[in-house]
Amino acid sequence: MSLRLDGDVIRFEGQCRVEDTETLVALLHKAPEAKLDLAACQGMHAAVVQAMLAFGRPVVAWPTEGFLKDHLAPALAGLRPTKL
Amino acid sequence: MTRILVVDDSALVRRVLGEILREGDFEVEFARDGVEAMERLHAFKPDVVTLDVEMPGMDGLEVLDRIMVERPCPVVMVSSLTSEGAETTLTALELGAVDFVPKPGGVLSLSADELAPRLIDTVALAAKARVRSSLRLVERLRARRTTGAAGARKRTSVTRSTSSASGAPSGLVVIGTSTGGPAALDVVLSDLPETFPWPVLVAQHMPASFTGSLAARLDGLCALSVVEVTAPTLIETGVVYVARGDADMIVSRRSEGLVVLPAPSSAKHRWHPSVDRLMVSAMDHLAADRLAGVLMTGMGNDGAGAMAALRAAGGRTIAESEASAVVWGMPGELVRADGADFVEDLDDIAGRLIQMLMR
Amino acid sequence: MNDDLLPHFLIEGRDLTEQAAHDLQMLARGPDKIALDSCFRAIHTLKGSAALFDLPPMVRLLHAAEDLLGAMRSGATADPAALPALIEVVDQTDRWLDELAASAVLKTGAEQVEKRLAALMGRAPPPEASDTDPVTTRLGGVAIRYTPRADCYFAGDDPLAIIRAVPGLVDLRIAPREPFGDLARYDPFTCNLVMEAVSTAERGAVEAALRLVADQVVLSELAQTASVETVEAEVRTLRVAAERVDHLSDLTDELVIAKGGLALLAAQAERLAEGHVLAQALRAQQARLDRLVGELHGTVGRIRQAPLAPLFNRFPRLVREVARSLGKTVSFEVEGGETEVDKAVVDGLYEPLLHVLRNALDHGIETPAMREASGKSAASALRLSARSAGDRVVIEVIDDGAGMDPRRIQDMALARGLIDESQAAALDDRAALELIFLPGFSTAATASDLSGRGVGMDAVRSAVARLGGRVEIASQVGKGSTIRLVLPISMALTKIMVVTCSGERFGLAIEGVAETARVAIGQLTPVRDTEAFVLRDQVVPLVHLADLVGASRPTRPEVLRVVVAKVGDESVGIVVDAVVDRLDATIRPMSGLLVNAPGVNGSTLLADGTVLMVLDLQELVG
Repeated sequence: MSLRLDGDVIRFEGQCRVEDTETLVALLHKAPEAKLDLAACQGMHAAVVQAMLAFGRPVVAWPTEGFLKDHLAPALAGLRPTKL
Repeated sequence: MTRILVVDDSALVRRVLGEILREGDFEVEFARDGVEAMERLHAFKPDVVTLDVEMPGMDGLEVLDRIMVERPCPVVMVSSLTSEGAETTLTALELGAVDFVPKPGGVLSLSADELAPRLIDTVALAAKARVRSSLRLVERLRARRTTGAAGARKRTSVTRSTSSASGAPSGLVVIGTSTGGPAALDVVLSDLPETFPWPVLVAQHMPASFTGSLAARLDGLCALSVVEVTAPTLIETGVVYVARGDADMIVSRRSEGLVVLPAPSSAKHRWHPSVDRLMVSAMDHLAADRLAGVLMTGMGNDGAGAMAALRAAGGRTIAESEASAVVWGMPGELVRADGADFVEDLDDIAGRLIQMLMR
Repeated sequence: MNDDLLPHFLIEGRDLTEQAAHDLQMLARGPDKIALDSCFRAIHTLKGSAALFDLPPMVRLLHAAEDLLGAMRSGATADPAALPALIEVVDQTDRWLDELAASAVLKTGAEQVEKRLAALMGRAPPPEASDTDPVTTRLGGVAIRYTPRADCYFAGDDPLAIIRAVPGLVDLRIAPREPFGDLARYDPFTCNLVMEAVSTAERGAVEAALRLVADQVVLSELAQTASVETVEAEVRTLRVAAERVDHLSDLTDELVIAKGGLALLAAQAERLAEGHVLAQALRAQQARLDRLVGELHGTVGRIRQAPLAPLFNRFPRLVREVARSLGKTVSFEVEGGETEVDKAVVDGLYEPLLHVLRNALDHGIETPAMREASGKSAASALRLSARSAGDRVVIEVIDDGAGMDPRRIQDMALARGLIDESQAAALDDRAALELIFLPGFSTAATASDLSGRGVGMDAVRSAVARLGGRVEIASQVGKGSTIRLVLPISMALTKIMVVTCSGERFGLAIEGVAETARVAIGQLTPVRDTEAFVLRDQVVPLVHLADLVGASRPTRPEVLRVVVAKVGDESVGIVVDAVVDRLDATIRPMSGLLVNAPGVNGSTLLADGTVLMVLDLQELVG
């Protein structure tokens, strides 16, 4: 499982694949206040990115993986990191 | 050697199919039209007939109808994957054809390289399939009646009150099937009453262009409402949800309740729509005793793992019996995994479900 | 002519000619809409790129080919002569690319070639004025707008992965195409994205990366203005002299070694009174450094890595030409070009691979008549493939030709005085095949003008050894041969187990180690002239590392320390004195006197400055 709810934070771990998208959406519905922690995320399918855009939840930590760090964070300009 | 009669009006198609089948070590003879087909049927006594759906003169369905009466044997339809082709092919499957392969050469078809293994597998499997020779006349008439009537769907004596039965469901029935499935679904679903308490989710292995037609046909035959799932849909009582072909279908939860939605087919599963994936997703959102699984005719083992797990967790499962299944692959695997509470003939599955859920 | 762009064009051009040639090969087997579309796009892109340079004959010829393919696509023509003509055009284009690579201009006479081939296609050259796309000045970048189809997730596309593959990506924005609406009804698998990006790469390269979704992409070239964005874009890619990268990677290697010293310090601190806290702090610091150095090392390594495709793409035409000259029919397949290896490896492989391929065509593959006589298809299959396997890349040349007869090779070696009778008698089949690697085995007497240019398989072997690799050979008479080059991807850190034997330290690549075990003397059973022990119902033969490296065995202890290695499908126990360490290190190929030392994979420097030999278990034990 690359997505899990940990208190009020949804943690992304490893590769978040297209199969994980509905897991994320269900979690976002289940925990309307949850924020996103992408620190351990190594890769993300576009469908996962799209769900993040749609729900617009605050991101508390961005990925460290090269492409995600260099391009994804700036690309999702609306979801700037917020302090917990 | 297994004998195959190839019926097609196109010399080129006959040649392509003939070469593939001879390479596959079958003895092959040809017929150019329905009349010739009937004549070769009695003289050559084929083990399997491949039948072009669209032929001038006596069309494929008429030939199929006569084969099933005069000398029943496994028939494989050769179809184009267009929506009209889907309509006719589904009728053929209800009339007793065992399976179908896509027609070579069409825009939406497989290339020759892809077709060859598929055709050989399908024909070899068909040779071993059980033919429902005594297909009841009433079914045959019903299948004929809906032929080509996609536009003017007949709602006969069934009247539906969409309001009374619908609402949040207390459980779900998951039905999985493959080869031989369309005809089996017709038998089971049309015997379920309008008041059947749990919604039904159907995963039938099929191409995408077929499942819409399948749902529309079943909707015309069943007291329950039958829909193809093309977007996230709230699950309601009184409805049968058919998974879209070439994709998977999963159960999930939204604030308003349980939903089914199509999902891109997962590489972790070999057949699509995946029965295993559908069942596992249902188990993620509902307790096992709120779920029932039915596994019917089909090659392979899709669904057996998840349904055996369901039974182990306290859910109830039904496997179609070897006696009635066209191919006893998936239900057989379920029985071998000790995953079936009941093993029933096709005609008794609906009755078992009613007894299980309506007492 | 823009000299700066030419190298890019040559790389892309070879990719595209290869693609087109492949597509045409598919088309030759029968109607294939996908191949036809793909070929059309490849030729179209090639024409567009060629138009950036002063190459009118090439542009006109490609334009004519594009027209012909367009007509085929619309069903307007089905001329059987079209395919051979198109193949000639693609081959000629490839030849022109060679000329451009050599001298940056086309040889004189290109117009005549163009006219001949245009006539072959049944097309008059298009009018001069309208054919070339307007060429603007050098551009600041390519703006990309990619709107994936709504059902693309179902088709298996990942638009993010697709955009990620665009070279020179500098500015990516992702936004919804339409408002998402009621989230309670959110459909996670209907794509509702639009991606905008800027790439600093050539338009052709951007188009190539996006070719599978070309219908969903709009490209526009940014004019070179002084806007901040463009300036930023220019700095993001740098051309750096290779020596500087080499220096950087040397420094990184030294850093890896220096970092290892911290472990020693920590161990020393541990022995001090009150030293425990200090040791812990040192270890924490070491862990941090480990991670950073590992990342740095990986990054530097990747700078040096390049795909094999540009190298591989040079071969299809050569193979076709050679096959034609020999009157042989060959279906040549190339795969794994995307595999990345150290640039030095890519650069050093052209000659050896060319030789191996020529050998296969010349000696391995039979004439169509001979093939048919022995019940094979007239066309032979020749395959060049690459794949990465751990920290190595495996490159194979496989043919389905006549294969090599070990006895015949042995006789030839005897006849040439390379071995004597007694040596010959001792050879098994595998060893006999290896004789082809002896210097002087291939001589002018057996070599045709193709492969007999004074280069034998010995040259292949030493070229590959210089790159830190080895050559393997497998052959079945009548069925064909496989030549396998196993090379380091290089720069990658290899996990090494350090063992001692007779007071010396040796490294073993952990990749080949299954487990370690302690075996009491009493558990040993004699097996023929050696000993074995039983490990989970499996009899594992023992060898002593001391014997393998030619040292003396120490006095026999009560309990043996055994490293269990997988050699092929077998397990072998290797007796060592002790396992002392595990570490990550860069293995350097052996040089100088030891370059061909059997059983030695390479060496690495330890933190204390000593050289550790890393042994090749497969070769030592196998």
